[in-house]
Amino acid sequence: MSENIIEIKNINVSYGSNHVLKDVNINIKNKDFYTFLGPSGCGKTTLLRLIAGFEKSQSGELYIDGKEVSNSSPWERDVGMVFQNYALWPHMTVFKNISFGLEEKRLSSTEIKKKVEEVLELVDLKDLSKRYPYQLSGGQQQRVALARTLVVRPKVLLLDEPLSNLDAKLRVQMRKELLDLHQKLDITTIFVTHDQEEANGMSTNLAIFNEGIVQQIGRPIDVYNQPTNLFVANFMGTINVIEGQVQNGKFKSKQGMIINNVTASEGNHSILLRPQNLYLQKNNNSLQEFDAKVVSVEFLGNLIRYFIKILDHELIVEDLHEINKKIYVKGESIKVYLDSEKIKIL
Amino acid sequence: MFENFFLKSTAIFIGLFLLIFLAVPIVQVFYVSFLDQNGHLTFVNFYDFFQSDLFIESLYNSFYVAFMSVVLSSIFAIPLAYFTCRFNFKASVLIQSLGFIPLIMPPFVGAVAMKLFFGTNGSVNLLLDDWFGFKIPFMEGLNGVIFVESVHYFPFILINLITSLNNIDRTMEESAQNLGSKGLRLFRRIVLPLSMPGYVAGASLVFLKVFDDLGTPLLLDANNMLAPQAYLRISSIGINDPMGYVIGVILVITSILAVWTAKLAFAGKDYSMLQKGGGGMIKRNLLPQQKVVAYSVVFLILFLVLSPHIALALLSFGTIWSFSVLPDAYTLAHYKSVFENSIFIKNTLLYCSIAALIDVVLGFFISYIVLRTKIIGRQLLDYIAMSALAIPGLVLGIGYLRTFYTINMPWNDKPLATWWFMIVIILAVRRLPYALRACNAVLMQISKYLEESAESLGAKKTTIFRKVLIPLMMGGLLAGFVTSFSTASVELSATIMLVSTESDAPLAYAIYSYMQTAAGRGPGAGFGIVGVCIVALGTYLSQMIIEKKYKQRGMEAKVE
Repeated sequence: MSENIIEIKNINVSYGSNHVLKDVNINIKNKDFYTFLGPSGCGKTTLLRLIAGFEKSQSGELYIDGKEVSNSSPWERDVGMVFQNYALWPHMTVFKNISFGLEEKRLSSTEIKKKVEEVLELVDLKDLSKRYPYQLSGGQQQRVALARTLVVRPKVLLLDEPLSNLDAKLRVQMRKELLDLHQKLDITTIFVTHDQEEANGMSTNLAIFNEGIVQQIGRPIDVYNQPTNLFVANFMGTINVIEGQVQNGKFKSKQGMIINNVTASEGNHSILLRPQNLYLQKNNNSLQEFDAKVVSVEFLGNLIRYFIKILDHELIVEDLHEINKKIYVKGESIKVYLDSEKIKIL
Repeated sequence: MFENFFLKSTAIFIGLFLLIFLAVPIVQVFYVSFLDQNGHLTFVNFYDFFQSDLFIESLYNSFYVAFMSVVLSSIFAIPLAYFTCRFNFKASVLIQSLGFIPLIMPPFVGAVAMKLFFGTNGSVNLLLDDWFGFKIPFMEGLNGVIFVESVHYFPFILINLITSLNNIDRTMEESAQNLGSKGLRLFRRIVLPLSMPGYVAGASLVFLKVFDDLGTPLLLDANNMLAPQAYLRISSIGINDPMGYVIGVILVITSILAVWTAKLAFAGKDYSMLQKGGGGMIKRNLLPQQKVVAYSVVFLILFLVLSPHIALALLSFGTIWSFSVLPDAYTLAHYKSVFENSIFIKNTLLYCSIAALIDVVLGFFISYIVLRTKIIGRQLLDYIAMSALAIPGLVLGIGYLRTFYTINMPWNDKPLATWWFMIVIILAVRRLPYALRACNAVLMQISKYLEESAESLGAKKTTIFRKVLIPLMMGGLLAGFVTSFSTASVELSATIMLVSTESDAPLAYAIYSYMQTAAGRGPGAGFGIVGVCIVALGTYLSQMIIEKKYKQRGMEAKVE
């Protein structure tokens, strides 16, 4: 067995003239928690459904556990999918929903009972086995959907935006529970989401999609620090972009802003700068100083977000908020510092 | 204070109206069925009923016909529903629109014409005999009733089944596939149970309609059934014969059981609520040979569905049509006599417009009182008004006759039951549920804030009705009016009891009485065509109104 449980090779999917996935190549390691991240309509769900067998590719290969499965039916694939809307069968009780897959495997009823009880314990739903789906809250329905999929011990667990139908507080809690489950069961998990915070917080590796193309693959922290293009940089969080030219290790923007000690080839470049890497205090002598003006201020609790102007560049600065720390006001002239080591040049 | 008083007195008025014209007549029927000749309470009438071979046979026949009609309707409806929902099928639109066609004509109108088409010596059997040398007894005895009723009522199953199949989210099937289920097993475990509520609702509606139908068995000479027996007892022996009432009680109880079954089928099973996204079942493409089968089935059923209408049209234009595939020659003479007797059409237009107007006004106030006020007993008002759906028209007619025959009109000392306006009222009561449903549907869509903002600007209830609610509800009110009007215009079973003179008779009665004689069939069919046109026009108009309304309101609907 290879180290990769899923290998996606040159997959193309289109509906008529609509090219939904373009030459997708992804390898997913065994026991990984892998996230497909991207805006809606980027093809991430299509790829997930392709792995489950609900979509067909026009070209390319898909290996699950070393076996080419492009032409096998969903029921032959041994992957478990949790649907975004949970897709619990409304005419069956919780117990019946969960036992369905085991019954399809023709297990004996005592074994079924034992396994269902185990999984109910795992998702903390022991007392609800006789309820019908409509008698459950959103979070409980989610757990039933998970239990129904996990009870058959699939090789891969597919989660299609599983947290999107939950309220904010529950979402944070379920995130932790999903990770715990992943750890406990050691099951390869593919998670689809449009929320970069979820993706960063949960996944070991992720692939960012846009318009059917994989933009970047890697560990969340690497993708955040080293985005390969503007789309990825923007999608992973707020970022300042300054366009200009590099000459002799100096970056000069069109409006005349100069940044020293830049290591990049001569010519046109974009400077990417996260808001937390612009400072309002000079806490290090190597920092470069700029004159700026406060345009507006947002108090976010843990952070204060300043919209400032350096020359004609409107930039965002995020400053950690502490009690008794000075807060600048709109129109105030300030000094802003940056560290040329902490910028990303494209 | 005044406003509250106004609404409360309206509620009381509507309550009284429903009490006098719906509850009392029904209670009368029940009460009389337990009275002996001396006016004492007794069970002897029911004992007598079950001692009579004729009644036992009628009871059996009614159940048999209703049950078999459900079976035959299912045979028509299930393949059509399945093709539409499972396959990418061009004829889907055709199926869904042809599905409504039979509903614009009540079965009794086409019954005689169907006999000429499918009877022992009708067009189809003559051709079959010619080509293959055998005949199919479509219209023999009870078969005829079953066949005619099924052709007319199978859309109830079709529509309900399509709705519930389309409500099955594709993830329902996908998650089963994901867990290793496929083919027939998947169908049996997931698709079938999920479509059951819709099927049962449609099937119980068919059962109820067939069980209560009076005109069709009468015109097809299948008199050994419950409804015809009740009618014949009352109309030949008189309103004091207890058997008519006993049968009435049995009809009411069976109807309520059928409605109750439908309710049970839906209890706690509002599957559409849980599923978001929608999109219906997983769709497949048809293979070429499957396509041939599918289209043949669709066209066969299409022919059956349209046959009563075609036969009726032929009958209305034909001179003599007997022992031949088509009429001997064509003429407009029947329509001439339709025009000479246009009093029936005028009566119908008059009765039904007043009845529909009453329905819309009552429907508006009932839905307002139920949805917007806290008046005690408001739900009861709604239940009672809607319960008219489960009361067979014939039984209501008998109840009216019994209740209002003994009350004389003050101005001419004739029984109240013979006054033409009682026909209007019975039609209004029968069709009130339709208008009420339409009103409920629109009022539920109108945000309460629209009224509250008017109130906060100082508007009185009457102003709000006039300037906010009624304009916003106009589409629904119109649709309710048109539906009540057009379905009332072919109502027979309730009015047949109350027609005292020819000059007061509505269209449906004319169709029925003309159809009974061979000479009257032509003009009868002409009246039938007029009736079909009224209903078809009405259905078309209400669809137009609803669609137009949706287009205008598209924006608001999203905001709410």
